[in-house]
Amino acid sequence: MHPDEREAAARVYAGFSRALLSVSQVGVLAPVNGVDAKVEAGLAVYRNNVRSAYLRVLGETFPVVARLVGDGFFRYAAHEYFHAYPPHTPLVARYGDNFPDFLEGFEPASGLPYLADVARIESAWLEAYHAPEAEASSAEEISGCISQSPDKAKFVFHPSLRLLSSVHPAYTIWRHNHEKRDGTLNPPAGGERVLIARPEAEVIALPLDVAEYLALQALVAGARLGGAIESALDERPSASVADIVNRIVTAGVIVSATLS
Amino acid sequence: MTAIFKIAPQSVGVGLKAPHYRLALEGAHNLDFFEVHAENFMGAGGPPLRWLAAVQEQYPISIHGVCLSVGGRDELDADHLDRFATLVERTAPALVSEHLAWSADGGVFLNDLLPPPLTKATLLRTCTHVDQIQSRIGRKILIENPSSYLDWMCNDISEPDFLNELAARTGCGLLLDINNIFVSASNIGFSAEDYVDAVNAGAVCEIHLAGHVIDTYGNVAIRVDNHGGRVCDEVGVLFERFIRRAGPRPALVEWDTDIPCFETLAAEAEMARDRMSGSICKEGLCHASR
Repeated sequence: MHPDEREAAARVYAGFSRALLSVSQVGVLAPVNGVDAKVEAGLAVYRNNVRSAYLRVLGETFPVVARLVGDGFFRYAAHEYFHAYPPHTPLVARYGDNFPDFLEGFEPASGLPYLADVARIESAWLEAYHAPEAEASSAEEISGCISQSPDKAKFVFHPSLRLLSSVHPAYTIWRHNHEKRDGTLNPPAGGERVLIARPEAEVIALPLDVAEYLALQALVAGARLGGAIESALDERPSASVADIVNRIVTAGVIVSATLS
Repeated sequence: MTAIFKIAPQSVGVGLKAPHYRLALEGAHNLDFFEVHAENFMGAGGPPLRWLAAVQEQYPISIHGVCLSVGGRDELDADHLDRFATLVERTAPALVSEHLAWSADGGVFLNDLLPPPLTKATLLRTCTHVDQIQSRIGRKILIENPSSYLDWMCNDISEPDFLNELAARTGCGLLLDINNIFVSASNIGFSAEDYVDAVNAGAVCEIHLAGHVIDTYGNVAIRVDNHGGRVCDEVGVLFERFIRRAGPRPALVEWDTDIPCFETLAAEAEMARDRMSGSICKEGLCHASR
């Protein structure tokens, strides 16, 4: 093939992808047949296709963030995100993986300090939705194991389990808007913690208190039940051991319980 | 689990969207098969795969990839090809397809089906990519013609010739999207009839039908393949033209934006069925195609 032809084809890929990604309209940057107005229209269709597809993905992943900031601001944030984090993965559903971190530092959204943590709940929701299948143990099976030797019980958790902690009432804000409730929201002062998982067909979200969160976090890291409860009590001496154990057992997120 | 591998030539189906999973399964329709976008089922588990497993127990399915960038100049994304192959293995679909299009360049993923430059170099590279996909999944893949809004100056092979040659060299099949032909022909200025007549009918294993819109940019009207409405009559007539020459082929209606109720979508597929059987009968082929 003639080198000029090779060069022309290369310019289609390189020039056109630059034209699609650029913030401002820069023309097609590759040799195209046709009059200027038609070429401009063709480029506009592609630029719009790319941006609207990614906007749609973000909207599907972060419906609560979109509801909180409103349509116009969400479009603006999506546009800025597109240029801050050019997409690299053909797994389009994962395009928004960096969106919570982006929102954290997104100055125009700084008036909503909880926004990034709400987005993290939505990211965790998506991860749990697509996580591998595993069959959860029944509360009876787990309790049976614990009753033999509470200190030595160790658990394997469902692969969809995610634990999140926020210094803001992100869970309450998320829940209110996830269920599309209207009316005034009076979130509690201070932080919240939440468990997200998909033990069956549906994704679940359970609020956790500090002790439950710390105990679960330790168990997920491989601690035995005795040690996990201790680390929770170190932080919250007033917590009830029975309540913590009950919450962990009945959450439905344990796949197997063993003694070690 | 029993997978249904066979799909009859006279079959009609629809692209299956999440809001329709339940209605597709409940079966108050005459649809013969369903097609899904591969990338929506690449999670490790969860509801999408559960639904797909339920659907494929009752209907043949078609796995339609949209992100492999078969017509790109980058190497195929090995991880993505693995995910694609895993899904094909897991679902044992009746049909597997991808696009003559590129979506990625230099590692940036553009998430649109962009038309490649139709040159000898692109043909060689696309053949290599199709060979790699077919050897990885261990079966034939169908390659679909793209919709185009621009016409590269360096193109030196016509699109139907490019597709015919791709099929001849790699043994892949073709997925002929009649709406894409009509959209590209209107936007770029070639004869959609000539294109339909030039495609090697023997290689075509599936037909796509869809709706499009006419958008205006400045004072230029441009047909945009948005899969957001009914199949227009011109596309229906082109479909009949192909069927008269080629005989019946599994035909699928895509409707991906402004998704209508399931009945409307199914009715669109039944119209395609009528067009198909009408086109066969006119040529006295009813008995031959039984």
